[in-house]
Amino acid sequence: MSSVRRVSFAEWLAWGLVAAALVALGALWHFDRTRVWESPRWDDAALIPLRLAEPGRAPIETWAVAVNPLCEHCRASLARGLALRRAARVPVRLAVLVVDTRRRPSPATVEALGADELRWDSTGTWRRRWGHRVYGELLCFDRAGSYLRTLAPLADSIAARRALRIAAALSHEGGS
Amino acid sequence: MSDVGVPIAALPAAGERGLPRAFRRPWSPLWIAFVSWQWWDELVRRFANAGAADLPEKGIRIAAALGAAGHLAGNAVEALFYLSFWQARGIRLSFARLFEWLVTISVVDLAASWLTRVAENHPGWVAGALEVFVGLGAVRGEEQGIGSGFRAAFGSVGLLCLARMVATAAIQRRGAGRGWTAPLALTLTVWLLGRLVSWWSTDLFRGVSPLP
Repeated sequence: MSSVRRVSFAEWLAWGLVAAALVALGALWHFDRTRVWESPRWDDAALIPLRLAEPGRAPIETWAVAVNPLCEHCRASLARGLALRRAARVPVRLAVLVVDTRRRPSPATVEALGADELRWDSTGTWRRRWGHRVYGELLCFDRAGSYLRTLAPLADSIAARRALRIAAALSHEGGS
Repeated sequence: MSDVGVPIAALPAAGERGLPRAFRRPWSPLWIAFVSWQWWDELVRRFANAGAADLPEKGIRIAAALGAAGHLAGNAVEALFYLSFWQARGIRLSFARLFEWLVTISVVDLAASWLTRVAENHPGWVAGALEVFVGLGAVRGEEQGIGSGFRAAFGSVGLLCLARMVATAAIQRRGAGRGWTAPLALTLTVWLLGRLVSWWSTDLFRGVSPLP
């Protein structure tokens, strides 16, 4: 069996391009992972309040759903969050952070997003300064507006059950 | 014509002799269509479970069709990759046969995907037992989700994943008429590169956001 056939220039070029693309992707990944991102704050000056929560008993936490008004997925995550709060009876304020939206959301959009509080990320803070990129995720803040954790979008029953466990723990904590 | 002046057709056609057909010629298109349909069905279920239930049904079906077509295209690219590797070593394999086998072997991935869904719906000992087959990081639980790109890419390393790699190497070994070393090393390299691309791309897509 002969093994004398050499690799042609075109094949070398193709392999070289594949290797270059892989190295470029790796370099991009490394740059992105080693970048230091700011810790999110709910009272960040760049977040413009569109609807403030009604004054009342201060919630233990504020859970802000990152919503792009054009994204059905985000609305579903928000709806599941509202349903979860009702079910768990947890003292959490459910808010909306409108992201990746250049123009100020219309009053109709604000009305349609049925959350306790709404803020508009007018300068792309969520993506550019905080490094978050997945629509529908829940950013959790304490009473002072400091960042606590991020929950994955409530995309399905498993994610919802996961959030429910945290909510139940908070409910227990709030009740004690 | 090769670089050394040997007509390509004169290269040893080990593939014609050694690589058998997965199916008789008339059945091949039907089998490929059947496996693609199974992938489409699996993707429809997966999208519906993953929150796309709020999307129009037509959208889910189209997305699943694109996903199934993507799987076929992935098998074709993988076959071309192996083909070019062996051709550079003077061994000709039949693209059609290799592609047919890769589509057939992808049924193992299909089974892994199905078992992952079963494990997610049955937490406890059932999930624990199935994780050995589908990968320790593939099953999302109530404690945590997929989370990072690393887990998304390498979480599915289980017995079924190993079976898929060994089967892919075995078919190349048969076609090339060589030992196990080169086919296994090649298959492992291709898999590893694919996983690396998946890991890095997923992390770039998610930033610091956790995956569900």
